Amino acid sequence: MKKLFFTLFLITALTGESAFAQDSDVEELNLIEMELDRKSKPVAENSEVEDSSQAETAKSVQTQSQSQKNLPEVKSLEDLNRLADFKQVSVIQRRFLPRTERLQLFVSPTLTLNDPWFNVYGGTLRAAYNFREAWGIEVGYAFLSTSKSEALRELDKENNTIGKNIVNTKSYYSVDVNWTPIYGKMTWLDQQILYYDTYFSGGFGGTEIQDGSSQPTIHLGVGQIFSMSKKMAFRWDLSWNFFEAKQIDQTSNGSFNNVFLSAGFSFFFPEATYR
Amino acid sequence: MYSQNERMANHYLSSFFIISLLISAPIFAAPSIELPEDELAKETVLPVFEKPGMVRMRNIVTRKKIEIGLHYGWLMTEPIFDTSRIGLTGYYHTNEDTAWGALFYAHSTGLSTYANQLGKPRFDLDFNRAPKPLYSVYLDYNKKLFYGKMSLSKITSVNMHLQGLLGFGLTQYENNKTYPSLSAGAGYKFYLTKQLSLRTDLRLLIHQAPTPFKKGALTSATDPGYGVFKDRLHFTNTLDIGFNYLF
Repeated sequence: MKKLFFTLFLITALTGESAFAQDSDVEELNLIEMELDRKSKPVAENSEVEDSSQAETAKSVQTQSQSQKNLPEVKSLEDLNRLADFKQVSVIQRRFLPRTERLQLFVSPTLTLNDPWFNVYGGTLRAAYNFREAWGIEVGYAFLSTSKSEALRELDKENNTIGKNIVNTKSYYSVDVNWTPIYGKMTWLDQQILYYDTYFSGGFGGTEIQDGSSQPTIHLGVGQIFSMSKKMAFRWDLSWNFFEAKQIDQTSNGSFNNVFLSAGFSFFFPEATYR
Repeated sequence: MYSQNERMANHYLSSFFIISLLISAPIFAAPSIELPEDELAKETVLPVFEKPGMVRMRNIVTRKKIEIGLHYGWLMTEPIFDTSRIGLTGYYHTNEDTAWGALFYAHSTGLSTYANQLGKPRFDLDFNRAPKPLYSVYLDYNKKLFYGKMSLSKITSVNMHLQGLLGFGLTQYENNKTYPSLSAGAGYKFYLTKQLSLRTDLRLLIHQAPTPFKKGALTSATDPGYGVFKDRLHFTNTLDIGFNYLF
């Protein structure tokens, strides 16, 4: 009789405990413990098992690990359907700011970093569309305002050269392919986590110079997009444009390049509600 | 049938059983609790810890370490003189957030492509008469504002630092004068291994220097010497790229 009651008491208590275990935190804890078990497998294999319970545990872990090995490797989303419950846990690394099939509008001020004769400031407008997370196309236009630098004013004043013949850029437009192979996260002074993408772009366009002509231009660029939310980001872009134009003496053509630095904000459409 | 002691034991065990059932009963029932709307939380809050820290185990540890580097520097807005310079750097990392360093640059002593164009017969300006920069030394302060990692197409990951740069230095010119300069900018450091990193810095250099433009001095039959070129404040953008080794 005592045994009966004691057994009933134990069953009741254990049932109550399992009811508590329905809490999601405990489920996560179980998953973590399962993961720890999996990691401890080499130890179980190498160590000499002393008692029967340890041997059983080691066997269980080994069986579990073996079954994991037999499961198919996850290469696409469809493969997730073939996973066995709680046998194989697949982690999908999500980008904080998804870009697939979304439109991006980029607005920023722009300046030229490498023009010794002119101070060049302006603005950049770009629109991009990503077919895939890593690949997209982008069209852009930059309108620029130029003023003579101190060096050019001195050159004209002291040496009476023809400063107006020195090539300077009034505007440029481009069509680019964007490739985003790099993404990551960084911490600001160990206080806050920021998610970012690094992209490379390349394309063609035209540069309007001081004489009104438009020169065919090769455009290369690199930049980063720091996610502020799922629809807005801070973005900087370093663009390097190469084109040909007449040199100062106006008799021969030469190669010119402009390095543009832009830093502004990107807006993404539509809203990323599907993740 | 049962003794007095057995009956007492059965009584206690029955009581335990009933109490256990009572404790677990509400859990089995799991009733849905409805709270008044105004008692529900209207905003979410995050816990504030006394010692917040996002990175628990840094892959790249720089504290109390020395770093040396070799850099190529591009003087992006230098109009007349060669825009290249080679630099040697040495830094000491006081902690994970700051580093102090010394930089030495040897300037290339040629002329820029613009100066070569202006040297052609039409203009005939000989900028070799103007004093060129020879060497520069800087004391540099780095504030490592961002530390992170990035994935390269899910193949590998690279740690990096994004840092603010502030420097003070001196530049020696051919006219045997030394001019002061200040620099400020930002730089990236990408760790290819735990020791070797690729570093790129973009700076604005504010410096006193002789101006290479002087009426008659560049075209006269006789070289008037360096003394005719006046000094003024210059603003130069610089881009450095190079490799650093941490040990």
